[in-house]
Amino acid sequence: MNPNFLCSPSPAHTLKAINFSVPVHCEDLKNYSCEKRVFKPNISNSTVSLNECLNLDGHGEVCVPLRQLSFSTGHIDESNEESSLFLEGSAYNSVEVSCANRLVLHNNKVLFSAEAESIGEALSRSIEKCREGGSLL
Amino acid sequence: MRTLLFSLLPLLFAQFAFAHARLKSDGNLPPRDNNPGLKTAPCGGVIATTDLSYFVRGSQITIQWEETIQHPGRYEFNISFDGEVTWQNLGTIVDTQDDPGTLPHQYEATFTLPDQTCTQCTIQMIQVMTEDPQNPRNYYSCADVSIVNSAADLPAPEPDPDPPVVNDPDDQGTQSLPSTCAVE
Repeated sequence: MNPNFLCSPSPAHTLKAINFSVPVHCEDLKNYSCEKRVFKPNISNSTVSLNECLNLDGHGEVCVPLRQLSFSTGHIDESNEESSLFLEGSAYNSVEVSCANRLVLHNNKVLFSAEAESIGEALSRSIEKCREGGSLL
Repeated sequence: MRTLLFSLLPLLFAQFAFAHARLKSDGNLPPRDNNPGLKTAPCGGVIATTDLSYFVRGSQITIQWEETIQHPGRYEFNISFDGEVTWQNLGTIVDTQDDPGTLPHQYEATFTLPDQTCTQCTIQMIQVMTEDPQNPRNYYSCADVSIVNSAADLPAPEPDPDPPVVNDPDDQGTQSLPSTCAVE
């Protein structure tokens, strides 16, 4: 067995070590950022950093850092693939959004993140996961 | 029925099946489902099938997969003997092909199976994409396998449905005759 595994702290240990507190760590929207991954046939590969502002239930208008990664699927030969994969919302014609709390890290990875189809939904879910983090203690 | 016979297929003639990254449908370990973009752990929400690939316990297996949209990261291979509750790591392969001009990227690696049998278990490939190292994103591709005690326990390969043409110099009128045809 890998001895490093035995020494790796649990999420609960991490939360105790940082004195995890829902108001401090979860409720401040400055602790969050989002990533949007766009897969479309008619775009170029690119990465841009934005500041996305939106109305979020319970928080009013908030702005979060957003990194948008665009992946072109135009190189994929449709004749060799199921046509349904290119329909809106399918693997080669879709948008994925993830938001995460950047303040709480465990083994240098975010502990509270969520994926959804929209930034607002992903952000709300990641906040909710953070709030539920107290149960890990 | 799928067997290791697939490993004899030269990659040169393999049909490309596009996905973000997934097990190759014409490889040694065909995926449970060809639908790419499966993001739900552990197997993209696709339930187990009875379409099994057979291997011998403790043997080495060569797995083929491909990446058709460039992502940095790695590929983790795991096996579950208990209905996808717990997983043993078979190995991790770093994504070494980064040139988007050469997509799809073809990968192949050999892993050693645990010295354990199962009537049906699951091999899982996770593409771990590390554009954001603090928040890596995953795609999942799983295959259903059966691991037998010895080579003698492997199922017999299915007969070739399209046997090669037999040229009989004494029979000018028949090009070929499938072995299963009855001659009257």
